[in-house]
Amino acid sequence: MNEHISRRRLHLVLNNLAEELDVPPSMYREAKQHYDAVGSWLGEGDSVLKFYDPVIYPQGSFALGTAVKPLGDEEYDVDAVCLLQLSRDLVTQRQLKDLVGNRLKHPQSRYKHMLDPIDGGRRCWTIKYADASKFHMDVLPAIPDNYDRLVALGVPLKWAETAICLTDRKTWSNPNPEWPRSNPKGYISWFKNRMQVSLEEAKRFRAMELRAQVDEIEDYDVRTPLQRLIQILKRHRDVRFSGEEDKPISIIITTLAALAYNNETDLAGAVLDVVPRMRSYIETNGGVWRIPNPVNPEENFADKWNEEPRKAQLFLFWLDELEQDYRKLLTDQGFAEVGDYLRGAFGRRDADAVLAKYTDRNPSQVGATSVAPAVLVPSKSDQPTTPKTVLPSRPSKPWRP
Amino acid sequence: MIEQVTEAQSRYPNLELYRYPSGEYRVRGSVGFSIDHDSQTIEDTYNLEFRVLDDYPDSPPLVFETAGKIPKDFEHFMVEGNFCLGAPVEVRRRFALYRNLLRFIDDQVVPYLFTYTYKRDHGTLPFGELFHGVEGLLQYYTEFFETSPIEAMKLLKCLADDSAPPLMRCPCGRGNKLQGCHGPKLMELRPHLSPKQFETELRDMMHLLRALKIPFPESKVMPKRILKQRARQKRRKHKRKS
Repeated sequence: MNEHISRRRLHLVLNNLAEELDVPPSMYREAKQHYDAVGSWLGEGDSVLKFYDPVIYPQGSFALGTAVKPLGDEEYDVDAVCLLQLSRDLVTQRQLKDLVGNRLKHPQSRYKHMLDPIDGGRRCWTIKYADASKFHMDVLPAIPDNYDRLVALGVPLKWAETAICLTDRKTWSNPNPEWPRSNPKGYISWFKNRMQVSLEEAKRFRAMELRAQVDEIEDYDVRTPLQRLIQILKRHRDVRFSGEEDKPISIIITTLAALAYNNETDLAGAVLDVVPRMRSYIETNGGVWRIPNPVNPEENFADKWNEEPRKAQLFLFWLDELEQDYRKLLTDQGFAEVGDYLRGAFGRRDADAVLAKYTDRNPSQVGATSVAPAVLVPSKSDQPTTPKTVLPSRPSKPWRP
Repeated sequence: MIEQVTEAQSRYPNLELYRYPSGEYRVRGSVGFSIDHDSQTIEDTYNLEFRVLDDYPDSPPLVFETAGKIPKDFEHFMVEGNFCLGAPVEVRRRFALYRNLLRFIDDQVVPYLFTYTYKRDHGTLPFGELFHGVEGLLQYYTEFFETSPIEAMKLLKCLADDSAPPLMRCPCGRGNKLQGCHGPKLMELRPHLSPKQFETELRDMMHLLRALKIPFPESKVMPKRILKQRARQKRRKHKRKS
């Protein structure tokens, strides 16, 4: 079979997989409503915070469009920054955290019983929504950072100017505590910039599909091959390193994939060409691992690797494994076992859904006969049973031709 | 099929139904049993695959063992490697009584698995086996009709000729009319193989007896079609001579 067809086949399966892993648009809308509501509560009415012009914006995988459906009964985790217009010499970390916390705990606040834990996390306030929505939101109190330094380090101004300072309960009681720095908004802009071409293409395509104008399509309405790739890698990581403390962190996967991404237009290209390039963006200097934050070169996403080298080994080993797996899926023989591979790598539930979809859509697809079958009735138990059986009164005698 | 598999899961919850891209259905999973036999309890589980044929539930599924637990030298396998649960007509006859997966497993598959477990542990088959090949078929018909082998072949001729007039004297030689003798038994088997298939079995039996030099009344056993064929051949020879 020629390379083109095998790539197309792999693309279709992976695309189905990514669609299966993706968070439904309704969840994005719900998340947006939730943080808008928090924003209004913090900034309106009799809130003392309104003098600091609070702004709430999403960060993390929901903002990047790389969130995946949670595994099992885990919850959707939405991260939001709550930015107050204050400066470091006007407020301490503890005061900043309490400013936001007290407003959330206000007697008239609908959030006063939703904080979990009630005295907040290390850096954020976690709002837990009703169980049915399987949803919680981490609100990070933050203030703007002084970004001159970043600009001096060569970070473009448009990304540097969104740098922020966070609070850290672990260190704020130290004398002269250092403010933890972050720049989620800058990172998101950088990430979108990395996939600019394919993002616009995806939006144009979507607009055509919906017979709409391109500017009516929101970024979160479409997925680029880069976002799909990251979703697939994250879920593979979750299954592969289930229960493992040293599993690769999402920000490393996201950063390396985005760096290695070359606006590949299909998912087969993304896994086959981007994954092998990812390792080349990991810097090592005199035995020190470095994966700099693209919008803050002073931040090293791999700093934990230097304390625990096992983490680095696991990550590199995993990249090798991925590369080999996908190369194998490109061959007819390998693709014949795609069902087993998907089940092993992504868990039964998603894999079976993907295969059912694939075989439905491609009944006459070349090579489809070699695709693993769709499960119509899944087993009810992994354990074999030995029910009490009474033999028929005259069982048939075995014969042989 | 979905309902049948769901029903079978009530006893064998590990079973799973798959649809292949070719449209073929297969059921896979483990089937276990716990059987009281000769004052002991015998328990075992096997991993099986049932291949559901296009004409299901007219034909029973083909059953394969997937974990290599039953060695080939158990010998009760068909050419494709599926279980040879019994004489072909008997497998279909029993299956037609229920045309249901769960009952098929309980009635035919579990007894087969039990037979192997028992043989492995005790060296003998708990309820015997048929001889192999055509001899086994002859044995099956003999036991089914409860007659001698020659009489069983005469009865089989009725199936091969697809002709069993109720008022005909029963070929078993007990002197009754077919309807009051083996007629019902013939009707039990008749739907499950084609006359052609019965004829093939019967011819193989005749070859066997000839090879063993056992005398038998050929004209009473020989399928009608073959008799006619022979007569035609004779006439042709005759013509050529004249």
